[in-house]
Amino acid sequence: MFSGGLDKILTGEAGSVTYVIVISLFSLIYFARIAASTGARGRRNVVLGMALLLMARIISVAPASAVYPQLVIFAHTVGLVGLYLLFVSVVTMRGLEKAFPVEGGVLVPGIITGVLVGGVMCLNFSWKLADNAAYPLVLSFSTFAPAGFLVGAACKARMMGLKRRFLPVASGIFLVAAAALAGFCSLGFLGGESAWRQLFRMMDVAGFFVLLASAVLDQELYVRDLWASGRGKKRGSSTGGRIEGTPDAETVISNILEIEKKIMSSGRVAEIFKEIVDSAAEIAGGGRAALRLARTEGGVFEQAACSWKGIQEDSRAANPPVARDTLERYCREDRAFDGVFVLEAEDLHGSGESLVPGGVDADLGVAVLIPASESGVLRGFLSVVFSEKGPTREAMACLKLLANRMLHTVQGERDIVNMQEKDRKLAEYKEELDSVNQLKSNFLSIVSHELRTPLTSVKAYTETLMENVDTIKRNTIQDFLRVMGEENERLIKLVDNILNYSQMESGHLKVEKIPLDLNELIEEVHKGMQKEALAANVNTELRVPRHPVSVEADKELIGQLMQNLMSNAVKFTPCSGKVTVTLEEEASAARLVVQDTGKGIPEKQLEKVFERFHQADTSSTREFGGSGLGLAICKNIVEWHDGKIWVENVKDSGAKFVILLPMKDIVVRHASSGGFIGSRRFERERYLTLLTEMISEFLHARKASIMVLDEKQQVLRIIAAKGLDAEFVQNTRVEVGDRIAGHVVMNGESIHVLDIEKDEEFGRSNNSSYYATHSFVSVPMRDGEKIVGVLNVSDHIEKREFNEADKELLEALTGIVVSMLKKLEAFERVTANFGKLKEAMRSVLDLREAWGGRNLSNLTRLALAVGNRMDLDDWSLTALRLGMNLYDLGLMKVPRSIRVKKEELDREEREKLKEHTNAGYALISPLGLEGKIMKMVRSHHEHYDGTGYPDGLAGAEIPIEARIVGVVDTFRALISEGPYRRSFSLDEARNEIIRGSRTRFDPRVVGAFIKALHDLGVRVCKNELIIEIDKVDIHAGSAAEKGMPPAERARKQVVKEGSK
Amino acid sequence: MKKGKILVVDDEVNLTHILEFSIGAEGYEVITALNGEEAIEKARRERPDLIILDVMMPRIDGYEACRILKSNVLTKNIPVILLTAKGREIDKKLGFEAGAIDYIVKPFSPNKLIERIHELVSCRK
Repeated sequence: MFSGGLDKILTGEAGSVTYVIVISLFSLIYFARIAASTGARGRRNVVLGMALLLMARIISVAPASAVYPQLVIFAHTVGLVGLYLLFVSVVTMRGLEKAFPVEGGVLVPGIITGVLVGGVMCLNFSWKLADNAAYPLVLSFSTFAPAGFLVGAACKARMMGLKRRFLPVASGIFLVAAAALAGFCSLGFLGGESAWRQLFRMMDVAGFFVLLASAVLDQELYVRDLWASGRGKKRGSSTGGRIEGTPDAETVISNILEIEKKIMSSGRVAEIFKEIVDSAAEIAGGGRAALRLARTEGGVFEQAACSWKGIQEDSRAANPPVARDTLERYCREDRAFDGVFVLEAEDLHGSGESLVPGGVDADLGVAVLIPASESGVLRGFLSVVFSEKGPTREAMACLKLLANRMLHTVQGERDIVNMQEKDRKLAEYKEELDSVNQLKSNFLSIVSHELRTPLTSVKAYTETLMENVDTIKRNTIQDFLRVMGEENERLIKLVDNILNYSQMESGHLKVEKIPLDLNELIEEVHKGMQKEALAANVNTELRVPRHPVSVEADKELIGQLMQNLMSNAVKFTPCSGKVTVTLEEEASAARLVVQDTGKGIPEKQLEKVFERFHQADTSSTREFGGSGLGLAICKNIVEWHDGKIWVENVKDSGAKFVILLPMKDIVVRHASSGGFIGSRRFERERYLTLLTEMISEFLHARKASIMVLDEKQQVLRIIAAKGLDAEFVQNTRVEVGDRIAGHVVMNGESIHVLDIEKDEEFGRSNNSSYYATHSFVSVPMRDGEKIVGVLNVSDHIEKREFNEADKELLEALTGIVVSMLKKLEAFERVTANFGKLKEAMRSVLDLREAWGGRNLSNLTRLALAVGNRMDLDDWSLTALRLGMNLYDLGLMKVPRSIRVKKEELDREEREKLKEHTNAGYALISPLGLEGKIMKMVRSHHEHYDGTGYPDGLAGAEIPIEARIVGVVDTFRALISEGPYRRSFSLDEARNEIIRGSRTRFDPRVVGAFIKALHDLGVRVCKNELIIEIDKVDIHAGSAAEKGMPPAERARKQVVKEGSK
Repeated sequence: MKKGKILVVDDEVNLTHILEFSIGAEGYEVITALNGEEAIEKARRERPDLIILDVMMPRIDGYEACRILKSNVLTKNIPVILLTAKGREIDKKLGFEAGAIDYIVKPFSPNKLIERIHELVSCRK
């Protein structure tokens, strides 16, 4: 090769001049072509390489070289550098640097080549100078020179199409042969001198030429392909003699055009995906292709479509989701081939098998992965199996086009979803606006009437008085003045109400919650009412306990509340009727009841009386009297105190207003740091209170706290807590790494201590005033990868220890808590959504109260046991656990009268009840929960045979979790007292469920359910579910077995990225 | 001899009182009713010369009461003045359609009402 050629020039042998001229011309032409077809960088390399080669030659033939042999060595070195640059330019042309980036692929073989060849040259010369003394040594080094080029040949072989490996391989054979000969020479096996040496050199040169030729040919073929494909397209489909299974460019292009056409005509994303995989499978000739998409940001690629043709019947359902890290492991540079990744069967054993549609089997030739990335983020990939020798360049190009098409489809789908979301929001706003408008006109009509009525009286009395001031008797004048005073009073009250209400609505009301003695307050209000009651001839009775009942409340507001309710009661009680006010203390709330002996409230109005200006028709306004604000104000006041108010009719004896005011043990730290600051302090407090209550309610913990990390100071502070004293909440600062919470932040791992007294690590760091019980759980809250705080719970309500399942539930909850805290942070910007969020949280708590937390948690255990028996993955189980607590949320939106109705519901009422799945879905959406949970809420009334509601899904269309919830919920309904039937016994309920198998329920779920009932030893007692055996069944240790903590994933997935 | 018999209907007792007083002071006999049913019943029994009818009342409102009065042979010739807090044109139209002869918006001047009463009663006589 060149080393030989240069050698000849230097030694001045005859014929070498011709050789040099030929090879120079040849190189010149070839490299000029390369220069023309490569980019600027490639051209620079070519020109520089040629210049260096030329320089080497000039130096070596210069007369001075004869005198100074060192110059010749220098010339050789320069020549080698030039040669290397040319080599690089061959490799980098045609965009192949993608497959062999200069940093790795070219540089390494290049340097090896350079060093080996250069070393040989130098030694060659030093040998010449030293007069043959080290000849065998030189020869042995000569073996490395071909080896260097061998590396180059191997590179070339990979670069070229798989079918055209012949030439590089041939050149490799020549080079190996040359090396072998050189080796034999140097070891003296061949004895002789120059004959073998010449042969070795010839082989060497031949190898190089073949390598060069393959490069030229590659270029040539590429151009020809392009030309041929262009011509093929023009010719249309007239060509008949196509080889089966290996479609040519023409087929491929028409395929793509066909797909494009179909895509244009069919709007459905699923169909487009199917077209894409079918075409991909056809292109590959193997009939196997699958398309998987990253459905969530979390990093699992789920199958979107699959071409089944080439997949065996039994492995058809088994294209499992692929984890992002598995994909990344296989999509490495060394498998890259012009933007796609080529994997062979032996690469794929183990986790890689999931990448291949239908799995790895004997038919598998090569699997190709075509990733589809959008601004650097991998959105999905197409995996195609080639059962033949391997993919052609055209096939690759087509597959890449298909992957691109898929990406566009995904983008389009996303755009549509975004648009729908916007439409939905817009419709929501419109609805809101409409209702506000309606309210406004109601307000105007009612208030104008209410204002005009006393004004009319005042005007009439004044005028009459003025007209007749001289003639009217004195006591008539007094009467007149009294009426005027009353009417004036009425006006003042009305104006007060309006102002009060508008203040409450806008959130500007000043509330000061102080410990308030309700007994005292009620007596005070009662006293003030005496006159009014006397005038109406109504008796009033007060029933208060002897001991004082105290709540944290605003005295003025609660006073107004009582005043409103009592005067309302007096107003609606006929002569010689009676109004009774009762105060009772419950476990965690004060209960106030105001009962009258009027004629009660029509059933249909029960829910509505608390709505502001709800009385759209004038007659009912007159009936209930007032501005339509009195009860709305009451409701507002109660809600400001996180209490509840409702009204019920007492049979034959009037209406009964009931108020529950919570006796709070939740403390919210006054906002000062931590980022979560709302200027509307009271709103913020109520929100955090609800959040804390929700955590403690879910975990059955008497004590719970939310700690937020102050990043600057690296200190944790409690922002809200239940069951801790205010001073402690206000003053606690935990350094990162200090105490338990500090450890949680530092290590980013949950701490679950069964018995703090016996715990070696934390036993001493335990702050006894805080951790009053033996068992507690602390889990980190994460926002992405960053830890933003800690949730703590301790002191289980049932006085038991927290178990592993509790810990996982708390971990799953952190996702919700973080997203809520973030929303709180953004509160000032999105007031409307904030209200919805509060409503959602409130409903979660109401639902638990309505059902009984204990009953609910037993039902949850049952559902999880079913899930376990169906081998659901950990994430599904966690979703099921949260979902079980939320799925019937929508019931809270169904009017109470329907919910508690004992008689059979009429059609309209049934329709209203059916609305609860949708209502729940709408209610829960502001919480930003993961899709599985949302679907549970929406689809748990779908039937297996498609006859359910709201969407009429059937079979596998219903998410598995929703199918399980459906069975468990039906069971719950059966064992509790139904609207118009007695409750079922356990056996009856079980038989009922079995009867519904296949029609209402998935038979597999029913099977698992029956088994779970048996395994858990479920009993039914007084309409409540009792689980006898306290097995650690719920999670079956699955977390440890499967290697990854489910909550870890759950936390990441619970909160959708988009919901920030 | 009284100038005529006037039926005043309003669910606000205070208002019926003052109207009773001021209209009575003008020499009319005044009877009062506190709701629609009572008004219809009294109109049939007492045959007043004029009815002053409030619109916004529970159950049977003024429009409805007016229609019922106008559909009965005994009462259809008695003129009705509607008295209401609703002052919009559409409300007036509804009132006239129901058969009212006049429509007075609250708050009103009793003197003006009495003037109208004079006119209508003398006209009827």
